Amino acid sequence: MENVRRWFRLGDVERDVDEELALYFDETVRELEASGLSSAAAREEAERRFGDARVYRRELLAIDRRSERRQRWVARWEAVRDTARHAVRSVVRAPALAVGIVLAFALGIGANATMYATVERLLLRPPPHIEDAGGVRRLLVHRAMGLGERIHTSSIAFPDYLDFARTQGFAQVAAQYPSDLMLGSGESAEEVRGLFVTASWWPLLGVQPVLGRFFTAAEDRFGGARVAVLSHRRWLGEYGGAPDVLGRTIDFGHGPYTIIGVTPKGFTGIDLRPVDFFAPFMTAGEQLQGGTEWAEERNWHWLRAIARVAPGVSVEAAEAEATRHHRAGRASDTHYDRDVEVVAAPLLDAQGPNAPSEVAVARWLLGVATVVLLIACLNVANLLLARMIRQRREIAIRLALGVSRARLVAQIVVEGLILGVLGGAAALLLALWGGTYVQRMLLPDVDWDGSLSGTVVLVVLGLSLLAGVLSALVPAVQASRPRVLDGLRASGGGITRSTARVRATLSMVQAALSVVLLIGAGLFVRSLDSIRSGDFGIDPWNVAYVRPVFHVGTVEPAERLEYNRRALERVSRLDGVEAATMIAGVPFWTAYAYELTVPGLDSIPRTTRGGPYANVVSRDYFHVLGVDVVRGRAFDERDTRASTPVLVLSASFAQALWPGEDPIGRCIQVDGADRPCAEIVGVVEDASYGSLVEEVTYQYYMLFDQALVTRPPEGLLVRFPNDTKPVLAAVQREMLGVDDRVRFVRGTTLEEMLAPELRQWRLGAVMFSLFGLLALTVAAIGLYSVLAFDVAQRVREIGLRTALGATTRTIMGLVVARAAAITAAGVVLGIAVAFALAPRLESMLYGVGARDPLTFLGVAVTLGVISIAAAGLPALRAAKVDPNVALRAD
Amino acid sequence: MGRQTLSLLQGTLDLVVLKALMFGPRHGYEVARWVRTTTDGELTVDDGALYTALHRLQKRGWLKAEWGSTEQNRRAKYYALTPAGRRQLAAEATSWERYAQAIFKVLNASAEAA
Repeated sequence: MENVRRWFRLGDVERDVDEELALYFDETVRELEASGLSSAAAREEAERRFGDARVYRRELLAIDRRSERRQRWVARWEAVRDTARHAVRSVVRAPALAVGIVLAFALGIGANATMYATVERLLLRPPPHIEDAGGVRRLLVHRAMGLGERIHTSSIAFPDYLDFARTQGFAQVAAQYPSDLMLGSGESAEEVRGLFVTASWWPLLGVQPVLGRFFTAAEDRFGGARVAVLSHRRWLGEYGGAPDVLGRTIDFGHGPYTIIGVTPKGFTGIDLRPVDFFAPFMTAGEQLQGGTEWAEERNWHWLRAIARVAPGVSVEAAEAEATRHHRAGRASDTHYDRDVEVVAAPLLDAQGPNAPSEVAVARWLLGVATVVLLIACLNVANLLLARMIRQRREIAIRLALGVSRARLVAQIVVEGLILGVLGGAAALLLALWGGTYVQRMLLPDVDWDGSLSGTVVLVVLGLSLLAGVLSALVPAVQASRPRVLDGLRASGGGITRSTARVRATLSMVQAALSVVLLIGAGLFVRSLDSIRSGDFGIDPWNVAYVRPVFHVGTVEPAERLEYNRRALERVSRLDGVEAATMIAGVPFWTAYAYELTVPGLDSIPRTTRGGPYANVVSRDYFHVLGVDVVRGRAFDERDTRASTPVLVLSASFAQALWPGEDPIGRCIQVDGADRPCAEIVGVVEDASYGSLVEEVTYQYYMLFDQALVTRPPEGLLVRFPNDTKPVLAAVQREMLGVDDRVRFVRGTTLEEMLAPELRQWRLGAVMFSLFGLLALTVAAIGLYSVLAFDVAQRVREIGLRTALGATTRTIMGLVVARAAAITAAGVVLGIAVAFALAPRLESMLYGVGARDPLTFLGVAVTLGVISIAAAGLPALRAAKVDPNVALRAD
Repeated sequence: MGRQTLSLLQGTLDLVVLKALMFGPRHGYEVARWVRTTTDGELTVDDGALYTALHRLQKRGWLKAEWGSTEQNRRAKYYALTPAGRRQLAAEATSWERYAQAIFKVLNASAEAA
């Protein structure tokens, strides 16, 4: 019994049972033979005593097999439990480290969750409450604008819509037009968002009302019923969700509309822009436009169409048929693109040909968030590695106790998973907050509360596990290398050198990634800066656009000029107003074109963007918008109703008309060859009116007073010496007071009108900077931990050097040099990566190259400063090492 | 043999096997021999059934088994009581004794007691 026993071996159940039974028979036979039985009799007696050996053997095998299976599970479970217990203990024993790691994960995963939620809302998820959203198509027209290149436009004329509706390949077709409406009048007027939709729109989207009903084709016609459907948002906000809202009326200024239904919560139609009211397309269109001419007008592109392709018809076939109808409808329009094509694009704009610019930025930011997470993982790997070295004695003991290497690796991985999941939980909280922030920053027009979907939660869980495993990978690989383990067992300094290299590399990569992010941040910040200080021909800052809205039917178009003239006079005299002008064309909103005739020229030059575009203005226009006169003069008091009509041209237009010649004094006939000559008196710089960043268009300006064309003013542009906001309200009040037929006055700053355009850069600048700083902080902490740990590990060496006469400066220099080496390598690598990625970023920047040397240099210097700061404390600690203590310890 | 008898027999058998191991680890043959000599061969039970009991009790965790060598240096599977097995033996012995005493009282009862 004292012999070496071996554990009951799993497996070989059969052999063991047979061996056990053999012993029984051999021993019994031996005993019986000893008592005098013959060999055969003894054998027979043994078999009698035992009973049916075959049956019992089978029974024994069955019992043992079951037992063995259970033991195997128990062993497995115990291994898991043991591993988990060690991992948990390991986490709990260093709470500060655990908190640090969880925080790093939370930031990294949180950044990803936030960006993923945003991209999901923008790119992946159809708007809510639409049935079979994949089957809903946006009808786009792919055509050339003027002489320019083809674009996909969603704006079509009403007759175009009727052509689409004729298409057999579409099961359903519907039209919509968004219109901001005003409720009430005067200063208490409230702007609400309306959407005019055809009756077919509701069944096409398959949405159901939560209250009441939607309108029908019988109501959606000229002279039809004035009915409106409330959005859930408006219903709750304005009516407190009262069920008796049905039957109440609302008035947009054209008479009362009866509320007949309420849409489900969160429903905004095919776009994510919030809506307050839905009204029948034809009825409301007639009321709002004050007529039905638009139903015949093909030159007014204003509505958008959606469709569902008929069952059994391919999208291509339906597109081809719609294209035929569209071309036929446009056959008599000689200016229209002959090769126009109708495209049935996906419902999600971001997946179609007209993806908004934020989409690209959001995609980039998702990539950036991934990099932040990567940095967090590298940092955690570094921390776990440092901890492993610190615990090397304990690890050595466990190895000596026979804990397998695989178990050790498993423990490290489990520890990573625990930390990762904790970090993921914290990340969800962060993403809830971050989602709201990004929504405000990036998607102010999107009706989305920034809440997290189930998919986002799943993504977070996946990322948590992935991050946990990734971070544990490096320490786990190190732990599984026999050489390292030998080192651990010896508890010597040998291992620290090999892992020190790994840790320095991890730290270097963190620095490199931070460099990439910071360069991205720098480029976007500089883009935003160039935009704000850029020369667009106009100076849009501190300029407001004010527009009077009259009570319906009270003011004839011809009277609008008189009103605006009086308003201009009074507004110009207000304190805090620098200058004001009447305008027909609103910058970034409307532009007009007229037929031009130039004596001596066969044709009028055009740019790829169409034109030449006209604007009708008053005297101070160029001053208000900050457009400089480059030749001749601006409009002035010499230009009156009685004087010769005059024109001012944009520089490129003048150059295109009369290359190298003086345009002043020449003649252009506007709106027909039979019109009198208008004399060119001045040339102004080219200006951007369509969008801030655009190619040159040809422009010319005329005066309302001289009535070359009969276009009434839309409103006034007002320049303020400084901040617009405080005086804007006074301007609106003044304009209300001019005439009591004015229902209210709308006022917006040009800056507000430009906000969607700037958003792309602002978003990039803010988010890149945020993520970049996050990365930099994490990387700096990582560098600090590497250096601090180095110093702690090399206390003896440093003590020895000090004892041998090294000065404090030399010792500190050692630490700083190491920091500098790691950072320098990181900066070089980061710059190389940024350099390689640059061409992909180029299109999203403005006024700055993607390889802007200043940005690169700035980031490199920043990293240098940060690395020296991170080295400070460890260097001081190294300098304070007392050789007496250091050399005696361990 | 009906089920009733078997389960009764099985319970008894378990008790016998546990008792056989009270004095130290034994292998199967030793258990069988001890049962035979202790009961003077009165207990007519297959030795195969004893082996089944040993394996079953091991699976339940009342016995543990280790491979060792016999005096003749043959590999043999030695069974020993686990702490749980020891508790089980005590409990079963007590209940068996009370049962036997109750039956004994019944057999010796006189008519007056009713």
